[in-house]
Amino acid sequence: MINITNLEKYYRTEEVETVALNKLSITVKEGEFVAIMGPSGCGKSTLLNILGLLDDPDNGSYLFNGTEVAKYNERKRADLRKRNIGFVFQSFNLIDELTVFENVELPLIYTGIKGPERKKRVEDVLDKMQIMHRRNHFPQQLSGGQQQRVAVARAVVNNPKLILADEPTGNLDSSNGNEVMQLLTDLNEQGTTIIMVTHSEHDAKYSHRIIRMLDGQTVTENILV
Amino acid sequence: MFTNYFKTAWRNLWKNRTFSLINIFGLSIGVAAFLMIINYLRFEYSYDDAHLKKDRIFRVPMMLKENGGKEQTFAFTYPAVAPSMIRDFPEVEEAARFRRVGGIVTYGDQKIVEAGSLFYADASMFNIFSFRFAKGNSASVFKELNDAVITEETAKKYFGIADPIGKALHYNGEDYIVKGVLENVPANSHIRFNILLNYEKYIQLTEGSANTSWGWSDFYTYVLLRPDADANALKAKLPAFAERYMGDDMKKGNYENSFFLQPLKDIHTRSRYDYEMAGNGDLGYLRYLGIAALFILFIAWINYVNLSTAHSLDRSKEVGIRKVAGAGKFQLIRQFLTESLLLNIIAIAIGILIFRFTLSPFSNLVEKDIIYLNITDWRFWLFMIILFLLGSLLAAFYPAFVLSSFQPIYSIKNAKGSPGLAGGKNVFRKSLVVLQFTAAIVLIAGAIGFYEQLHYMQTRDLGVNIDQTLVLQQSGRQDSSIVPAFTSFINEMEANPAIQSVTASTSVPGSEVGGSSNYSLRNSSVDRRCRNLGIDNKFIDAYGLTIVAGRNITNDKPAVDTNVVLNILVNETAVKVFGFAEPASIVGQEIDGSGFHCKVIGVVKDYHQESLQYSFDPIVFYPEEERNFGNISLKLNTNDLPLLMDFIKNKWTTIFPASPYRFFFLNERFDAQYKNDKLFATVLWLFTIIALVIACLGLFGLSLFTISKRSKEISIRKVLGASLVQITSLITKDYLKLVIIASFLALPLAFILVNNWLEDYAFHVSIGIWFFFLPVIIIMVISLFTVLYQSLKAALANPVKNLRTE
Repeated sequence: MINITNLEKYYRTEEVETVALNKLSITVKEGEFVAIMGPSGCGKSTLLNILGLLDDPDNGSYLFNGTEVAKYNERKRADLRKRNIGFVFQSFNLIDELTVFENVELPLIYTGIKGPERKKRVEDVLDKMQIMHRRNHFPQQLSGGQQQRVAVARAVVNNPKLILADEPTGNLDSSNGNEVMQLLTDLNEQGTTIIMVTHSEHDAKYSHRIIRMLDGQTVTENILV
Repeated sequence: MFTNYFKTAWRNLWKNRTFSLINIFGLSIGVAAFLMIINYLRFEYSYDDAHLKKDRIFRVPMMLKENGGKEQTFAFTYPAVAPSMIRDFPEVEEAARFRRVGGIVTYGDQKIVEAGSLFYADASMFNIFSFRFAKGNSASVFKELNDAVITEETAKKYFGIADPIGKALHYNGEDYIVKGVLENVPANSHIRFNILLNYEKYIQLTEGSANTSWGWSDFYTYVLLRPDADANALKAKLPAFAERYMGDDMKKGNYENSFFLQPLKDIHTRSRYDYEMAGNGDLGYLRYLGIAALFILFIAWINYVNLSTAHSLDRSKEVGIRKVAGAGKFQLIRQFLTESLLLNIIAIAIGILIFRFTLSPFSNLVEKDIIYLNITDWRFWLFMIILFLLGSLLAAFYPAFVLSSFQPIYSIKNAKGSPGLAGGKNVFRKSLVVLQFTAAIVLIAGAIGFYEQLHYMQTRDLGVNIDQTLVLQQSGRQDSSIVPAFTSFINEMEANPAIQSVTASTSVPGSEVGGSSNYSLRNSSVDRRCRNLGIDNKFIDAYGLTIVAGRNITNDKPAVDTNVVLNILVNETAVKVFGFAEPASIVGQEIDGSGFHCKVIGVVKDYHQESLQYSFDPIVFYPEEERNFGNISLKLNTNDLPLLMDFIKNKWTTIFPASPYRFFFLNERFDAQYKNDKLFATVLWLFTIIALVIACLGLFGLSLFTISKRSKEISIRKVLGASLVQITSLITKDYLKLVIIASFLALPLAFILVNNWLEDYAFHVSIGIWFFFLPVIIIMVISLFTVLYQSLKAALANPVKNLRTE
């Protein structure tokens, strides 16, 4: 599904150039659950952003389902993103002004799904995430675990092929964290590919494969399953 | 999708209540002020719109230029012009003359002075203008010589609820029968009258000269051109027209006389001839107000753009999330435009409400009837609403563009937006603030310039003493029978010790000297036009005027017998007009004019007969006989004014039973010349202050925002030992820099504007150093205080709190 080769990303300021990704190559198959680990600044979040088409690489190739997307423009990236990729962030990133229902509904609006269909799909996913009873609440009225469940619901409501999770349990206590990890595992079992950046060895164990990174390169790969 | 946009928009407005309030409040005041001014301008420009044939109606003013002299323009012309134009030019369909007369109109016991509102008018005026008849019609009036037409208001004044048709008004020894009643003259008509009398009667009274004279120029003349006529072609024929009828006389008298064709619609706003009918607007003022209106709206919209853009930083996270969720750039632009439209619509609605509620006080302020300022024309509103919405869209576009351009990854991770777009170094936003300050400084400079000029006009030494002067106006019929009464009244007044001096004259300072004639030096055919001021031998002393050469009038013979040499005084301007370098040189010169052989016996120092807007006119002071004096000036010196006023009134009503008791205090009358200027000054200050309030609101919002964004920086600086002053100046100096840049832009612009406008005044202040510093200092102080409050609050806050919450 994902095939990146010799990917490079630099961050430049006026005087210093920092290498975030250094000729990185990885492959992720459809249906895989991959965890990316490594110390702060090793480039794992940069990698996730590039995989999610939120950022573009300076060099290298990125094949998404066999199509080269590294040089896509913003419009094409946005289009590919909304059809194929869901995101879960450490800090949930819900829009404070929208209710639970409206937050989850957002990706469907942007893909142009009609009202009644949207309602059905949002309710289905809220049901699945067991957060239906809070549908009219605003994010700040929810606990961290509940907020992350909403974020996951939003990530999956469009049935993406790929979910990118950036430390999804980082802001949660262990029981809420486990709940979210279980959600991701369930999604993966239903066929969704998941790539997750994490610091937590415990969370990483939910994945099939752990890629460890250092200084913008992969150092080891452990296959767990 | 729009439901979602609206929902987010509404919740965002609510969540950021302070910003929304500042934005909405500023915009709605801007909208209200703009509407107020535009509406006022609309009224001023609507003058004479009610006349259906307005595009074909022209007035015929004229210009006189005596050899070597200045051009003098007159709103009126000779009575022979109207019939001659009809005869000579096929383009002219109709022509009508208006001759203003004064005096007392009586009906039964009622005696009313119809000052300035009584005219003899040609019957053709009813075909030219569209004044509507309430009773009678244009075919039924002015059939008889003594026909009169009055307005509804006048009918009520004289006859109450009785039917005025057929009733007789007595004027100047004649009975005039009311044959028609016109609806009241609309407030936006430059011609204003109460009573119209048949012009044919006037021709009869003047033994034809009101129809044939090419020398008597008191006749407001209007022509109606045929629908297919070319006004420019007609204009081109006017020099030959003047030559045809006046050529010989012009050659003989060595003067030029030309006629103009002035479109009816130009009269109220653009016309600045001598002897205009009262109440003309001033295009300069109107233009300046128009600029102020645009500035105000502009400042309000800049506020909107600035606050929204600044505020977009707070929303970058939301933008990021929406982008991650699949929103395209144009979907986001649409969303933010919806949001801004919502805010703008609320502001426009509130603005319109403010406008409606303040219309009444505003119409009182500008002394216009509210009916005329109350706009019912839906096209006006449609136009305004489209204008506001377009402006809102334009203002909303930039913030929408900025917001939608955020890179999602920066937005989500850093919540600071894309670098360079909404950051602290935003040149665009600063440029807008500079423009805003520029507009504000121009307005303040204009208002100060105007105030200074008004102050100068009101306080400058006039060269004539008008203090404590009560002027009584004689409006009874003036023939020789009045002389004994006149003498008796003067004696009674002089006998009262509380009255310092008594003098009689044909005009008093504070208004144009009524008449003017051509004068020429003996043995010269060059005519010079001078104003004629008839005085008694106490006038010069009573008014504190100075004789700079020769002597004052003493017991010199009045202007009665044209065979007797008339001793006259002239003012310094007349000395120059006659070509003498020194006042002393003209003394003893013989001058012919007004049918008299005159001899100059003295020269009066120039004084301001009129408002300082006008330059000095050449004036001939001649001894006049008692019956022609319309004004008696009393210099009062008393501690018990009511008692003295009672005394004067009693004597007047006893001695002149036929003449209504009319008086005014001269300094008040003189001041009344500045009524329009004062009104404009008030209106200008009002809108300048509104503009400042809006600009300050924007600045307040922006500083509030900047400071909230810099709270961590401020706290760190404080922890590191920065003083209160250092922290405050950190914030304020940024804004002061912008003020200084704006000053450099604004002052040349304001200088040109104010200078241009001061040129209209014959006597004006020179633009001094205050002009450059005062507006800048005012803006600096105001902006400093606006920003200071927030800066101090930030500087005094507990740094630990900010550092912990970051």
